[in-house]
Amino acid sequence: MLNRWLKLAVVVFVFALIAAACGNDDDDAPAALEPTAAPTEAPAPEPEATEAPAPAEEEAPAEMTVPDNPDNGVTSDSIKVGWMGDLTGPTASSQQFNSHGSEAYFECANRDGGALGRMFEYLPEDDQFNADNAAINFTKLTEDDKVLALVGLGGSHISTQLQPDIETLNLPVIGPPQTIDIQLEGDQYFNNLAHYGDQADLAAGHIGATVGGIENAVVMGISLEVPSGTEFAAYVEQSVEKGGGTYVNTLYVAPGATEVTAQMVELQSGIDEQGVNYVTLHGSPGAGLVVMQGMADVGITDVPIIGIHGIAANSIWTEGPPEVSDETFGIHSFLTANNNIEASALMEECASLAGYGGEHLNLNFAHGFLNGYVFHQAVERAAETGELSRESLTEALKGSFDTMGITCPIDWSAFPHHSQCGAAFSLDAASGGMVAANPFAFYADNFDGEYGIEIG
Amino acid sequence: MLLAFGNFTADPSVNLQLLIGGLALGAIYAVVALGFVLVYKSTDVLNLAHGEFLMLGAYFALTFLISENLNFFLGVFVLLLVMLVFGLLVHYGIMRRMVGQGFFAIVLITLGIATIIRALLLIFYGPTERARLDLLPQGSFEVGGATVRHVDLIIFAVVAACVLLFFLFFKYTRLGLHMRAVADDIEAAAAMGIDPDKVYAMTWAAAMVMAGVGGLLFGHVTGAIDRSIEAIGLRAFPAAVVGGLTSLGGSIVGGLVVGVIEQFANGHLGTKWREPVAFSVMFVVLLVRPTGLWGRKDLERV
Repeated sequence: MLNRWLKLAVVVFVFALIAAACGNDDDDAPAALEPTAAPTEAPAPEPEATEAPAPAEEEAPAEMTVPDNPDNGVTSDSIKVGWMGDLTGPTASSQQFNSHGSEAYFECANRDGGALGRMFEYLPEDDQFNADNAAINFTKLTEDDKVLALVGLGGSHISTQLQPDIETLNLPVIGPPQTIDIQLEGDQYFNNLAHYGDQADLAAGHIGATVGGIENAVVMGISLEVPSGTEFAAYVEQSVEKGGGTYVNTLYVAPGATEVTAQMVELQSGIDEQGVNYVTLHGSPGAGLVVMQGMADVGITDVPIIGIHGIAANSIWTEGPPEVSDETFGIHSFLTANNNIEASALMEECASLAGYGGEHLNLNFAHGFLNGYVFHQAVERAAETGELSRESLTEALKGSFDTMGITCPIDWSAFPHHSQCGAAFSLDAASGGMVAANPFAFYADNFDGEYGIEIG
Repeated sequence: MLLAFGNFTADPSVNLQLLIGGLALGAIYAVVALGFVLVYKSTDVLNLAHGEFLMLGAYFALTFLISENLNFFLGVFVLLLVMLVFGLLVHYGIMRRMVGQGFFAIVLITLGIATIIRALLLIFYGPTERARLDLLPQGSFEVGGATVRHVDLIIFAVVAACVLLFFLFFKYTRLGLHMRAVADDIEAAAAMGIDPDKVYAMTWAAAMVMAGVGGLLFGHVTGAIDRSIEAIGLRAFPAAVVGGLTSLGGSIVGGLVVGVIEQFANGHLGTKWREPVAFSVMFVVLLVRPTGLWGRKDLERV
């Protein structure tokens, strides 16, 4: 009997400890911005391309209506829209914010009446960054749910794998969280994140501005050892050398690596022997933190870093070694709510409404939010043709869209559908959100529009 | 002067840094390998969840030492106590029912435990990465142009102390003797009045405590604490096999050997060679000495 009570006590004790651990975790969550918080210095919002209705403010005109089209996700009471990406896998710390941003937008839009007399039905599917899971999810979304479009499709290997099916189904994909060459070649992709080539151009421009001209730059790249890492490094090399700078070489880090001693040895040699004065970084926030900790451990704290959009995550600055993160920037294409933009209040409000309070300070959340907003505008534009289908939505997307200041004006009327827009971001400690070192316009002249790089 | 031959370099300071980095990595591998050995030596179970156990230790260390901000020694005590209780739960809740089952069935159970731990950590802590721990001394000093971190020296000392403690425990304590007896012949041990159930329970508890120590130490040297750190279990596996899955001392030597080889492969051949070289060493050792360098060869009557 005593034995049984002892075991019961042990179980209760363990669960009490787990509960304590979880409760405590909440204490660490970033606090939401106070409504009265002073706006941080933000890039000047770009002029908006079109006058589109803000979902929280205006309802769709009463006369605008379309017949049901259940094969394309338009039922009598809902418009189905899918999201595919990594919610619990290795890149979830980035991608989950994209999904939350879209979800928050649709929560607000539904609160305000939805569109065309219907509610948005948001269907996120988690693939854990696994292409096999993604294929199953894609089948579910397109054959069972029959979604009208996808807002987000995470993973370059996944978008590459699904490209033929997306074309066959004429399924619009709005704002995937990566922009690789194959997405520029597809008529169904509507990209609003700067392409890797653009991000490399932007990095070179930022480096040049920092070191007194790109010709003074001596750059070493550190990339995750995945295809996109090689691609980004090749673009950086091209951009730096085109401007007269020196690109020394690329160091690769294995996915899942927990330490980078060997890479730091080589970086230190590059600094000592070749005068490396800038590092470009490719990878997820976790990989970025490993590299930054490695640099701090060996005392490399005075060589600045500029990373791809994966590095532009709040955790790089909140969790990384400050002596390194002080000199770190991450490239991204969107502005968070702490910046003084038209979407600020709405983004914060919708984040809270959806249960994601505080996430409006994350760049990927802003991206997901924008994707929802663009989808909403496109749905209403497509409805003007008298029907809402994947075909009419695709055609409607080939135009200009309001962005509420979240990114540059979007104009997908020309092919390929992408947006050359980006800036170098870091964390603003006062607001807890991300801020750009310079406005989007500052970097606009750096984009050369050259894509499809040959990787040797 | 850097004398480079492709990726190869004869620069002594570079190679010294790789050696030091390899020993530091090897010390972590040794901690993990010690956990593998402890369970295998006493229960004949190949516990493939040990990386997750260690990850659990790292996350609990975050909770008790950083979030709860407990005094370091109190926090470590609570951490190890919780891990010990989890060890007992693993035994009484799951592994006890698997005694006498087939080897692969039990291995699959450990994989299931690993999956559950990963899922629970995702649910309770979320996917966002956290900064590594910084409670142990963070400074460093230079030797021959190479950087040596204080925390690495502490890890060496702790690992050596753990090996010594377990050695003394197995050799001189009653419970240690019982563990060895059960591992050698469970039926004979039971006939002598030893309760195998209690012995197994203590083994899992000890392995969990060791994982707690490992998580605390690894949490100080990994770049970030997130769910990817469970991979340390797989990466340390060659160390445990090279040392011999039944040898406590072998685990530390195996860890250091594999850590250094991996680091030199990374530094001289490139990061893609890191794991193939480590696992190749394991294959070679298994081909030459199937029980590992210091493993015990079981004799079976025919």
